[in-house]
Amino acid sequence: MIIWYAFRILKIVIFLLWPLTVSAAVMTGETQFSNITGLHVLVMSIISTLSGLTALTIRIDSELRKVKGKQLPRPILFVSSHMLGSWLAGIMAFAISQHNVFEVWTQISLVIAASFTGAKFVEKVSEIYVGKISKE
Amino acid sequence: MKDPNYILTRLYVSLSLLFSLIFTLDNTSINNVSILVNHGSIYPVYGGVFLCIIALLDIIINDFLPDSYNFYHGAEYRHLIYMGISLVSFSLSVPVINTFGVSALTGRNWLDGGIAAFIAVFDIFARHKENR
Repeated sequence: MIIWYAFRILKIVIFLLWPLTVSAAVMTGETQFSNITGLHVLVMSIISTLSGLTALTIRIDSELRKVKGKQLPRPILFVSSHMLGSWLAGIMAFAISQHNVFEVWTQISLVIAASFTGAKFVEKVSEIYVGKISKE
Repeated sequence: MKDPNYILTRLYVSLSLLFSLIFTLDNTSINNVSILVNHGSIYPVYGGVFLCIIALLDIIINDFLPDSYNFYHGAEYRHLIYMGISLVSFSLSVPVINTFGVSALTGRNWLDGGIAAFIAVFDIFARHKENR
């Protein structure tokens, strides 16, 4: 019973603390993130999407190459796993490069590499934990 | 796939980006090169030129020349070539956006990049449908 109460109190503390941590993070990163334009974010998200799409096309090509005339199984899981991985990694790479005030080309290269690697990573992880995506 | 519209679309994308990049390298009066150099590097431009030349070789050898001439890797990895063209095209618009904001060059880069990405995705399904 005491442990249950302790967990409840801990939950309330975490719930009350997270807005403070978010506002602290925003205040800390304000100098680096305040000068970003919406257009810059848009084009970087497009680049991240394209990088994830590259990983996806490579995978689709290898799947269709294995068996002639094969249909893609579980296409929603197939596409969403790649794209979510690429977007997550792309956002992280963008935030890191913006925080460290990298050059534009370094930022672009980092976002492309991270999105591609993120898509490939989620593809491998989903094959291990969710089961083989290409399973028929 | 030897559909004339498909060949023309690929030709348009390759030539459009190639000419954009060559004019960027050549025409220093509008400071395109200085924009790219000031933002870090000009090597992506050379990378884009290389990809466009590969795409043009693929079109000329696999589509225009007789079947005895074959550029196997160009056709097999066409999706990667056009995805690379798309990435270069969108990437080139970032320094321009940071310098001028929205301009005609940005729109053109985005149009070329969008069409190249569409070709890359379309080509995989078309190629494997043809092979069935």
